[in-house]
Amino acid sequence: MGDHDSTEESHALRGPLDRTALREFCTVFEDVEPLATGSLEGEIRTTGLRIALDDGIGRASSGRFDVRWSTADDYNIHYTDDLDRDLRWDVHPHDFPAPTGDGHHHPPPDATSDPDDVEDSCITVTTIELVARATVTLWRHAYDRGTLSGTNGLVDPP
Amino acid sequence: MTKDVNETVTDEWVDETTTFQRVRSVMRTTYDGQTASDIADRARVSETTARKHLEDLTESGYVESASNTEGPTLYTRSTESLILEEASDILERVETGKLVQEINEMETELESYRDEFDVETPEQAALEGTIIDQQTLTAWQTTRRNLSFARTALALSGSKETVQATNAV
Repeated sequence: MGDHDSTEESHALRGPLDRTALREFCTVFEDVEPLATGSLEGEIRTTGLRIALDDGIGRASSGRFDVRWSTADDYNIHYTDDLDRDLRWDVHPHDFPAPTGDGHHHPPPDATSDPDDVEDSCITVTTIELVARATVTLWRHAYDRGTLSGTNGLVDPP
Repeated sequence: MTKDVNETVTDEWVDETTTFQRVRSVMRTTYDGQTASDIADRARVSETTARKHLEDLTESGYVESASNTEGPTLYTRSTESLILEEASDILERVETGKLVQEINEMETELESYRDEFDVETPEQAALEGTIIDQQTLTAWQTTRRNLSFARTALALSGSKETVQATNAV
């Protein structure tokens, strides 16, 4: 599992990171998903949350969410796995031509920041508890289907 | 997925929690004053229910309320309650020795930002028009915030020892 490229764009969250929010996200995620184990990045100098998944999507054997959440409720929810596949759901101001809101999605396989590929985020709920639950649901859906394609919930087979 | 993920998780949340749990969960990280009406929307409860729970949460010190004659009461997570919550959590995770070490490292980090930008705080930099890139700004503000929690944790640890010792006499 490689370290994803931390571009400047992914660090454009407003405000300091919120340790309380990260702990809440962690608790909710672990409660709802038995395969998940969360740990703070820095117990005191807390700069993020890592959630390890015991199993991978499709051919992958494991996966991980790296979460950053600010006091302004901006966030990065970055998924990466041992096949070096990445995707990310973000909420923060950006200068992509689309979408118009702060919520956006960097699709797999490499969480591209190509303006032509960045999508609207399928996550419209905003409270930590609901965003964490939505993330679990989206992961579970991809896990059950064995594929990362369509994970952003916009491509829904009838 | 036949049902929108947002609807699904909202329904699950409402099914699995009490109205009080939802209001408290929403208030846990509400740092800007919000009205009972807005909080009710976010917590998926009626405004009357939100108001009732907010009064209880204010009573117990979890939430601070600011009433004014010009508009509705605004509710915010109590800063003291938040600081204490984080400080207590830190104490559960690390030993005092490690805590002291981390505090020193954070203070060194902040010193380097102050030297680099020649201001005491990021807010002062903004006032003076000093340009700091967003990434550095977030890192600086995050370390200041975490340092505040850590310092409180250290003080709390010392006070607990003293108070417990005096209680035992």
